[in-house]
Amino acid sequence: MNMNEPLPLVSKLAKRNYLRKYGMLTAFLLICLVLSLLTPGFFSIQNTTIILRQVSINGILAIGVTFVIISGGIDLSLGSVVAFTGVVAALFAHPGEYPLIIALGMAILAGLAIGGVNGLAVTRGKVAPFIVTLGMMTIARGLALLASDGRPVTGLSDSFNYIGGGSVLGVPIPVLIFGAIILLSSFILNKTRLGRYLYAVGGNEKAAYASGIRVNSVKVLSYMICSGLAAIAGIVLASRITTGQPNAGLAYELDAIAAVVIGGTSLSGGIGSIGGTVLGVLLIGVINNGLDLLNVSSYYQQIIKGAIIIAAALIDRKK
Amino acid sequence: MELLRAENISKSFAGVRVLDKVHMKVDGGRVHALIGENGAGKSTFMNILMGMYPADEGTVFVRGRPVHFAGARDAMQYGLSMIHQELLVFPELTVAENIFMGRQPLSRFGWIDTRTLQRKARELMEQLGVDIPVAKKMKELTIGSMQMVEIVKAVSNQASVFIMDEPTSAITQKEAEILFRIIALLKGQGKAIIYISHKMDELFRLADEVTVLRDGKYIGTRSRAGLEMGELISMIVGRDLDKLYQKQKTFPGPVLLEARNLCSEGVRNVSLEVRRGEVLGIAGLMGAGRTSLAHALAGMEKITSGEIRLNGQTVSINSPRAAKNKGIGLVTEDRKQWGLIPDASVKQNIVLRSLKKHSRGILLDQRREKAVADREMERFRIRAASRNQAVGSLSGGNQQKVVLSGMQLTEPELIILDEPTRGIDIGAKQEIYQYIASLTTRGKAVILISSELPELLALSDRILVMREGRVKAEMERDKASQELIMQHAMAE
Repeated sequence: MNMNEPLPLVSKLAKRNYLRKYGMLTAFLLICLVLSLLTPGFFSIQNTTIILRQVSINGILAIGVTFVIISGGIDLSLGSVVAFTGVVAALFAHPGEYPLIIALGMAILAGLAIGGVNGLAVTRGKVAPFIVTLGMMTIARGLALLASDGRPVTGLSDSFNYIGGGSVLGVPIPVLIFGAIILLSSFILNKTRLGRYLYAVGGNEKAAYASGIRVNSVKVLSYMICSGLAAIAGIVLASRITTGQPNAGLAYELDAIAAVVIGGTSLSGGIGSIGGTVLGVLLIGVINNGLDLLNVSSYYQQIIKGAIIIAAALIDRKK
Repeated sequence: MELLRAENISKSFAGVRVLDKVHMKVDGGRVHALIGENGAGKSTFMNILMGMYPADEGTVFVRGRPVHFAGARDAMQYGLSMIHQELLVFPELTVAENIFMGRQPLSRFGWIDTRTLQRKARELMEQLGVDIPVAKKMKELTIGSMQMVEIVKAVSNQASVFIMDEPTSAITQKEAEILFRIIALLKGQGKAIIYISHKMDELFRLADEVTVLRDGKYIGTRSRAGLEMGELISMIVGRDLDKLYQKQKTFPGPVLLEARNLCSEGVRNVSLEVRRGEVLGIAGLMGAGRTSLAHALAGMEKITSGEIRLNGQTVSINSPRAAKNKGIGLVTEDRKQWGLIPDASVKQNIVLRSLKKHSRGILLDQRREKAVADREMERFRIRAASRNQAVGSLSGGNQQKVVLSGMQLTEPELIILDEPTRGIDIGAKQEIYQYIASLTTRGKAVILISSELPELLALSDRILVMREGRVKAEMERDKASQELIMQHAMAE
């Protein structure tokens, strides 16, 4: 065999391998390059900060739902949980009533409780995650309207509003929160036993059970992590719009799931990473921002976003 | 008469030669066995014959004329038909519809003529002496019956060469007997059968010729007349094995596990005891409750009544987790379903069951995991590109060794092995036999479930025979025989 001749199959495999590992990163960098050439304002500290702030809520949600999807489930209730927990936080955030920590704590507790119910219905009740969380989507929306009496909760304390509006050393606080959550969740998924169990349960639930893993607990935890993070997103959103808005967060879950899928996490579970999800979140954010700067109508933006989701899934299939 | 001939077939994937100048000549009215260890190239070779892959070199001749198939459809037109190991059926359609898929007889108005369809299907069934209701949905059949339907389908396609890839790996003894009868019938009609199997007794019973492949190379073709087991095995593994089944003398110790009047969904009133240093064999036909018993003892099937004692203490085993913590390890018969996380690495699969032991509190200890995985891969001779390879891409034998090593890392005292050598090659089987022997010399207790009676007879100290969820007979090793076991397994 002439060794100077490239083996066609080998180079094809190498290409495929590259596409799998770095396809989305390459696409992301290319899009950034094109946008910075097309629009002078794109590649600047100011615009980067804007993008990061814009994506931080979707980012927090997407990371949460990554946990659930890796363990083989799905969560459609996120958007409503954002609204409900935002309202709960706002109800405890009127100036001079409770310390800030109570507002935050109550919202997060509400989120964890919803996640716990989702998880129990899926594990003990053996109802499909899609159905459980579809139901919870409506329940949590109803709870948000009930708790707020259907009206936006306004008149929030300055300290509460600082979470969404303030910044530290020029970095917006939502971005700092998003960053901290990225680090913490990567750590959980890659460095702890819980992380390994999440992948195992999503990869083959029966084998995980036969291996002596507490499959139900792992699943319940994944839903609690997801809704807990949704509560943090709910706090950030309420604080940024200085209102507990019961109608907020509509269809947020779909953007979050889209980011997860673009990031290469398998909807059938067992495969995925926080890095991929963050890339998916950034990709959506950068494209929205770039198209805004280019004055492309938001109608087109929707079409383009949808096309990217399908393209990402196609690249995934090529594996 | 020669129906099919393949000459000098070679094939490489990604620069690795998986077939190297392989020959085979198949005559009508003969059963030609193709054997070799997993990874020997049998499947690739068959896929080339069926036109699924093009060969890099070599030629296939059908009735003496060179042919080039672009796909299974072409191959089928030349009379080649393959009954797959993993059946490709339409579960929601009826038997008749499956047989005539794509060639349904149409009525005057252009819709499917169900009556003609079923009549034709019934005629085909009668020709082969098979009794399967043609109006039943495919999913309601046993795997054995589905396989028959596939064969009927091939017959209706006017097939003259039948390729059967491990047809008895998932069917009952009774169904296997029907299959063997059909094979004899086809043979009598002048058809040729290429029969792939790991089971030696079947090969010696059915085959007229045997072709052996090893590491993608053609080792030789022998006529069954005058062929000895020893010669065949050394052709397959490339080294002489003194004896495939070798039983060391064991010295049973105190009773480790005792079950009294155990009942569960598939187990009726079973009592048994296993001693340390002993292999308790469990025989029975498929559906006799053997797997249910294994699952009940390992916390995977709910025990409805009865008692289990470990070391004389009554214990409750209500989950695999409880079983693991009490020192019971199970290797299930279905490693794809219960044993492995296919997308996860060899390393992760090896350490999964014992992860707690190999981590620091809630944190993983990656360095330790790597060390443990490397050690286990060497001990069990697991052949993988690296410890990071996805376990789903390994051969069956290597997957089974991953399951075994993962189970033994939990340091069980009682090891339950349910069909541990199903669908794996002789080399790996030999290694598993040695492993079982090493367990008993270390004072562990073993419960071995196997449908391969020679294996069971050779490895067990005592054998229980199950039927309909009950233990029907118990026999010491030196008093047991295949005939006796089958007698108890099939009827009073």
